[in-house]
Parts: sequence; C-alpha cells; structure tokens
Amino acid sequence: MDPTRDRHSVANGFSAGFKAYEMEDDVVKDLSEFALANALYAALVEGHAAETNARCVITIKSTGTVTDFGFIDEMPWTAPPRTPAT
Amino acid sequence: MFELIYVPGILELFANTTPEEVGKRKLFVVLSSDKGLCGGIHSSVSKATRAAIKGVDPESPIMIIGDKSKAQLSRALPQNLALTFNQIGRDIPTFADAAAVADLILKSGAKYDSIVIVYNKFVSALSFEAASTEVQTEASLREAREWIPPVIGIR
Repeated sequence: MDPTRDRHSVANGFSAGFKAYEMEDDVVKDLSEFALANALYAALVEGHAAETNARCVITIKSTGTVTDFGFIDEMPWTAPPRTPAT
Repeated sequence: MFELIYVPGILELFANTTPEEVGKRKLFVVLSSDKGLCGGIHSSVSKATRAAIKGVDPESPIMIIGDKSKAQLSRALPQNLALTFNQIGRDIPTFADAAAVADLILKSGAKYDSIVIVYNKFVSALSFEAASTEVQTEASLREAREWIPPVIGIR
C-alpha cells in the first residue's frame, strides 16, 4: 500500500486514496456488479411492498373485502379476526 | 438514499467516492410490474422517470421491469428504451431475480456513466412515492480519485 498518509487519514485510520490500495481488477468488477444486484433487490422489495399495499387499498376501497392475494393467506402473521369494541 | 438494511455499506462507499468526472449519461432502470388494478403505482414511476430524464443526456437509455410502465414510457420516450423485462415481481422478489436482471443489464452493451434505479418507496399503509437511487459503475469506481473517509467522531 502507498504510504502517503496525511494527518486527516491517520486520525481516522483510513487510507487517503481509494487508489492507494492495490486491488486486482476483478475486485472492483465484482463489487460494482454485486452493488447493482443488491440495489436492484432492495428496490424490487420496496416496490413490491408498495404495489401489494396499493392493490390492497384499492381492493378494499372498491369491494370492501380482501380476496385474491395468494401468498398473503399463507403468511404466518395473518392477524386473527378483529372483535368489535364493546 | 434509501434506509434499507441491505446496502448501507455499499451506498456509503458510493457516497464517499468522488468520480473523476461526472458523466451526464445515466441508465434509468424503472421498476414497476405487469399487473394493473393498483392505483397510480406505475404512472408514479413513469412520471418520475420523465421528470428525471430532462436534466440529463436526452439519449440516456431506459430499461424497464414490468409491462405497465413499458406501455406508458414507450409512448412518452420511445427512442430511449433499451431493454424491457416482464414476469418479474409477480411473486415475492428474490435475490436471484435481481441478479438475473443485473446480469442482463451489464451484458446489454448500453452506454452509460451511472445507473439510476427508479422505484416506488413504501411510505405508509396509505401511500407510496417514487424514489431513486444511484449506483456507480465499475469504470467510475475505478477512476474515483479519492475516497473521503466518513465522518466518525472527532477529526
């Protein structure tokens, strides 16, 4: 590793330059590909949550019931029917 | 920036790497789905993409996951569409889906300086909003001049 460390980086224990690390080229490639897949996965999950929820809201608004949600019925956390407050 | 637990380390790295020169050509990856009947969830991302593309290179490629947004954007920005996917996101998404999409994006040969993912963010049980996150490419990471250390404690 390049020993050009400034006061700032010594205080933090980090290297000043990203380039100061000797890296094999494949490492950067793997990192960038993994980062893309990871960010896509996070966005897919977030989008799926938003979509399922939006569909649920629309269905409840238009019909008053929730049906046809396939996997939601199989979820272990399905809440027990709510009892009306007395 | 999103606060999900999956990626803070990598996003932190991106936040602290300064690319040598910031390219204006972005690749937009738009996440919607194939099915309708869920309010404005597809037009939300389409609208966000149309707004975002105004500030960058007008020839920036767009890749779309989901047929609904594809139908909308192929009317608005037909010359920018590079690649579209369907049948993704009809079930709970898995990392394998994401990896397959990422692989096809990287192999597509489209020209871009960075990747912007446009998606819907779950805000509450009543609302969602379009959000975006930027991913740096291999080239820009390699060219990054300086890695600014994150602020931890007293400098």
